[in-house]
Amino acid sequence: MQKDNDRNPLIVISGLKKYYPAKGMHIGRNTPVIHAVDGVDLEIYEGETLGIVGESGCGKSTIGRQIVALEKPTSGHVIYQGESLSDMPFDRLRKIRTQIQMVFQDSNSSLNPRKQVFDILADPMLYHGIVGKDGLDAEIDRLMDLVGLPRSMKHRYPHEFSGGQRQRIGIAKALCVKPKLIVCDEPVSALDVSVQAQILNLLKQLQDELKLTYVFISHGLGAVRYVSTRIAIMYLGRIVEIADTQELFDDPVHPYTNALFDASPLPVPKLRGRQRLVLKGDIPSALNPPKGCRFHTRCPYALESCMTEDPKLIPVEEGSGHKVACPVLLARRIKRESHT
Amino acid sequence: MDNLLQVENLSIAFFEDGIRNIVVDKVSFAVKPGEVLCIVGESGCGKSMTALSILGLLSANAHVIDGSIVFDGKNLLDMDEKELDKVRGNEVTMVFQDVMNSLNPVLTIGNQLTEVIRIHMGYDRKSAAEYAVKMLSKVGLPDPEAVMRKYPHMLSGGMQQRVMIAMALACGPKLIIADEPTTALDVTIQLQIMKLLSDLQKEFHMSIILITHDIGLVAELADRVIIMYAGQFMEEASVYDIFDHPAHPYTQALLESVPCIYDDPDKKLASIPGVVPEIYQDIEGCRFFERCPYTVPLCRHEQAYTEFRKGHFVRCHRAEKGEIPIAKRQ
Repeated sequence: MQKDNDRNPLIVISGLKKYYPAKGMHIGRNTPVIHAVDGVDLEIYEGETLGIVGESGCGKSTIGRQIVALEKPTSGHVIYQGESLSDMPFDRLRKIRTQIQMVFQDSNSSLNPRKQVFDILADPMLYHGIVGKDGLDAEIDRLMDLVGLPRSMKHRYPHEFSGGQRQRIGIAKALCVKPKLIVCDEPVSALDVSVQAQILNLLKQLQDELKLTYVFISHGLGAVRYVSTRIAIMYLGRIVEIADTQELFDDPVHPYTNALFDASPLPVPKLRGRQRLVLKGDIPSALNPPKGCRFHTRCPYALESCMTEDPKLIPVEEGSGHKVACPVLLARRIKRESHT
Repeated sequence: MDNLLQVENLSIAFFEDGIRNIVVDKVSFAVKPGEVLCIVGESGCGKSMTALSILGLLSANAHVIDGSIVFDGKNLLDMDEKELDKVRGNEVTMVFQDVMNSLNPVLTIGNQLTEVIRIHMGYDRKSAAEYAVKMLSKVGLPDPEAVMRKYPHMLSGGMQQRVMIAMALACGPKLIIADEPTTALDVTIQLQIMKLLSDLQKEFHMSIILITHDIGLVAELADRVIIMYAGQFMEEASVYDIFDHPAHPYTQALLESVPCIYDDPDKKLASIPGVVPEIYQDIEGCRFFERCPYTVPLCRHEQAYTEFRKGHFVRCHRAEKGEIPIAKRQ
């Protein structure tokens, strides 16, 4: 596999933390905080699709919002080509924002219901000076072609489209300012399966044509595997494992990664009786995450040390891009390999 | 073996401003005792309407316009509300997708659960409470006495769904209708609930009608599968036949469009072009026509639903004659 240092990071996230005050509780000195993202280091390389997977409340969408600078991090930095997004003056940020765009899950509420598709696409382009008034029509036709919508539909309103078509408008809206990076936050979760495949294929095709970089956030493992070149698995505000897609599926190390793979239903009835790791209990609250390894309350391999020691992301081998935050299984794995 | 539930020629329509829109069009199916039947389809295909109509829970502007629903020898459509109340919650129960809205937020779990037990089983307050605790531990809730005193918002989604299942099981039903029971849950929790449902189903020898859009879940749980599209049944067969020899082009396309974590990584995901028709009652002939890769002029005519192999039904004249290649699936 490719070594990290051969590649060009577009975005470097370092020590990122984002806490939210828990709404409506104990207003005053001791407002409890939700530890949405709690110490994440991550690089996003040019031309890759980084998948971020995890269950609800693990902080995957929060990372997405930090990358497009919709919110300021509590601490840590998101560095885009050498510049920290959180310390940037607004004018500069406004320019940078054309290069980092977002596609949202709910195309219903992320498109202005009172604007025609034409205006939804035209306004950002005019604002950022991407095209002048004279080139506008041609550019919008080009965008409609690009995302597979008939040109004749450009004077319609969002509610006149189906869910899949609206998601195509959402993608066109992200593309219209010519970004380098697009953060896709659950772009297909609200769609029917037959339409999901259309959108996933469209995203892949656009990436090839326009040399885009994606961050693809989803809870659906199948979809993430299909589009991603590299995948980060998150649990309660932390990355527990990260690797190239093929390597992650061939050789998952972290017990949570394994449990997540086992829990995904397979469309093969013959395999229904297979051995699988069923996790006990619920995901702990992000208000008061467990000490030590955050997964120890549900982990079948937990040792006493897991309750106190905070595991770091460690490469499975010297220089490998496959990193795991589980010293217990990593030690076992190395032992097993030295035996064979 | 006699069928527990027999639905014949059921049609359901919405009435709005005097306009009739048929959303479920002459569907017939049966559920045997101890069987798990999955009805699969995309949103708006009528699968939830079919399920809701069994218990008389359709919204005010939707009506059953034709057909019969016979449960244990009695036609549920002929019953008045009072008679129906003896069946629903007792012999037939339902588990909904949206647990947060199915539990009463201002009553404790204990209150809601014992109410069900007292009304349907005639227990007194004390023995109902004991029985409720037993049911809660049956569905794998830790510390059931403490759960009894809690309000729904104090429980996680997975725990709420367990409470719903305890409530559905309390009166020893013969049939559970589960409408997308795990769609709102995370995958690791979904696995817990799925395992629970299938263990309890075997233990109590119940039948389950599972309504879902998740092909993976179907493969894990179903005995028989019905594929629904635009208000009609397109295919019905055992779960192995559906996955190994899907006959209808829609079934094939649906199975191909689901990304699986063990697929060949370079395989391109097949997508179905176009969209599901929103209003489909006036479509003559096959309702999948616009999106189907195998169409011939005959498809413009009404398609019969026929048993082309034993226990395998399909609504496609070409599949019936063996003209649709069956993709070999791994």
